Amino acid sequence: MKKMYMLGLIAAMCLFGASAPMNLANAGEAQVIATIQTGVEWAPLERGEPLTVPEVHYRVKHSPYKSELVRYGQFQFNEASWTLQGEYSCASCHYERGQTTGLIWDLGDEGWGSWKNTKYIRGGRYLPPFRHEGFTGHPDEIVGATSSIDRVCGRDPGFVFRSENFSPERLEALIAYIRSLEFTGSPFRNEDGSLTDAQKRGWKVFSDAKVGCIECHPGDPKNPRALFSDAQTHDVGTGRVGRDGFRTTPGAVFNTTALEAGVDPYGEEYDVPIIGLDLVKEFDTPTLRDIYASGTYFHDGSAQTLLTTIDNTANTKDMHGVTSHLTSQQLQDLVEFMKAL
Amino acid sequence: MKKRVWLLGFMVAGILSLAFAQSAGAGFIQGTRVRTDCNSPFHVAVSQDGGTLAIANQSGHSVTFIDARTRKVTGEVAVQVQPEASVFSQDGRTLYVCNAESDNVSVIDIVNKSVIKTIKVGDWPCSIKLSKDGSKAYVTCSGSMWNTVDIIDTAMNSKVGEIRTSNYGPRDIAISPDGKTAAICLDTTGSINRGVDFVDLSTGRLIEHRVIPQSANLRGIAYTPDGAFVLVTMEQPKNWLPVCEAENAQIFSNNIAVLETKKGGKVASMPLDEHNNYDGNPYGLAVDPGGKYVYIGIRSMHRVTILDLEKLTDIVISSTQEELDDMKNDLTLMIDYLVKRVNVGLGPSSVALSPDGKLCYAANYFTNNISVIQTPVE
Repeated sequence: MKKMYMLGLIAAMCLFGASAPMNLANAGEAQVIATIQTGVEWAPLERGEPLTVPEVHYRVKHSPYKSELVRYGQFQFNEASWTLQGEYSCASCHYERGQTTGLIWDLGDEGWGSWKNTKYIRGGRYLPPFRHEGFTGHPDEIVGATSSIDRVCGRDPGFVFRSENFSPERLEALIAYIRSLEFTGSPFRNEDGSLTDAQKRGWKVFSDAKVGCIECHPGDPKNPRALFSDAQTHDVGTGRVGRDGFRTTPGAVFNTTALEAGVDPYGEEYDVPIIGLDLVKEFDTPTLRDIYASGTYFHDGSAQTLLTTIDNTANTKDMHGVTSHLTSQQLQDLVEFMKAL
Repeated sequence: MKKRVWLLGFMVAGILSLAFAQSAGAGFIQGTRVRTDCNSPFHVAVSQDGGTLAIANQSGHSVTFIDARTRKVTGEVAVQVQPEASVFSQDGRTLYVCNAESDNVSVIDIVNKSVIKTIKVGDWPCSIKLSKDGSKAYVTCSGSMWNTVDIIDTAMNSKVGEIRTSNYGPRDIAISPDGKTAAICLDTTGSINRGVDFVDLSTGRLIEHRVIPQSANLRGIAYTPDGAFVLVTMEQPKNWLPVCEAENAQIFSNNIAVLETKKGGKVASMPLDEHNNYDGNPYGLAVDPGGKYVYIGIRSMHRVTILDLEKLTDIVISSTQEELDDMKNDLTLMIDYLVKRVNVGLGPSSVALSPDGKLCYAANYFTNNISVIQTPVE
């Protein structure tokens, strides 16, 4: 009987030993001790696993697969492990709201020194082409979207992400997500959606043929589908080609001259003039929808505010609309109108 | 006849299942009109007694309540579009929820699990904090061309004023331990030198705007318990460099800014990255009430990074501003103040602590769950 007690005691101690030391050893060590599921269980596909959702379904309005495809695209959009060392995700530049951080990058595929303002991608599907130069894009918006993202992230994602390629299926999911992003709508109108007095005055200036805004940004503020873009490229005086291309930059610069001289090109230099190397002078006309949320402005982000885009002191040649004759009140009204779109 | 009954049965079942799917936190995928059954928990708040968690579901357009002791869901309340933050009243009976896309704040009676009022605020409210005495709630309205922190009187449940920030995009707010000052991080679109406003809460006036050089994507802010520092999660862009130079923090690095709160104090941007192991997209943060640790949700690398707060602030105290400026790109530093990286669910956007600091909750956006982390606090 004693033996039985002893055996029981040993067994109990063994059991305790198997469980208790684990807890004791981990006391004070940070670890996940529970997971509370508050919604449906969701897991992304393994990297090597092809998507089973047919690509065609994102074009079908009520496809049962569309939601999953878009959700998977949203996940990839916010996933940093695609980058070489987990540095950043699409959302680092385009925000998690699908908007923009307004940062300016030298993407390099149009030549070094051709800085591009991070594009606002909400509502992007309505208005190809998608690159500032209008190089990519196609009347077929889907082909346009594919070629645009494919160029930056798909065929050669190593360029942006220094990483493996997205498979065509994953690229489709990413595109499905981006295609599904809608404009947010302006918070600056009256509660009933009508224009304020200042915005009405601004609309009058905007639609004045002598000022010319409406020529390239056609649209009616009463029409919620108006895009305020002619989808053409125009020279508004921002292209930095040749001698006119000097500008002063804050922060660290990539010094092309230093690179050519064989020394470290990443100088912590400030106020160093560097040559802009845009390939063209004409750039895609952006939509004015959500313009209040899509700053900074112009292809290179050279306009920090809406006022700067139309201010004749910054745009002396009246190349971006004819505004030099407008009063400061009219310019301000024009800004108020743009904020309403 | 039988066929018809079967058909009718199927139709009723279909309609019921659709209705059920929609009531169980279904909503739109953020920024789209695509419906999803995923509720996408974006923010977690803990009641002052630590007994209740409130989860703001960004896609579900709802708030889920959890009993923190049993770890069971106790209810879900529908709010407006895209809730991104919430705060409990001091008595724990009311919850204030920021609905980012709807530009308003829902006031929820927690006992009855119902919305009792909706308060109109500025563009894109995405953070809310209580004053020290609980009489006011401060709502940051982070729209790209908006610069207000709206003030809600919690007795009247109505907007009674606003604080004008020095620039657009107030993203998060922290109240100093003495309750006198607010630190507001401004995530101003287009700026590569975003910063923090220090505001006198008795007058609503700006005391100081402090720039965090080369900063973007400022997402969370918190005071240390002694009030000597504020911490800000941020990314550091080097956006004049060709993007092919992604390695070695040449394009983006992920940092935590440490600002001395005394006027004109030092500003450090301490790396969260190590070589080959970056903390991509740091989001919400929480500071241990004992002042030993700071917890950061790393949304795009799916983990919570825990730092030794004392070691972190010691570096700032013992270094000159010039030395600190040199540290922001040094990827060998993180190991000095890293306690642990804890893998959680996918997309932890927000973290919150139990009042004793022994548990950390992370809201995992993509896996629709909450990770409960046992912290190193003994």
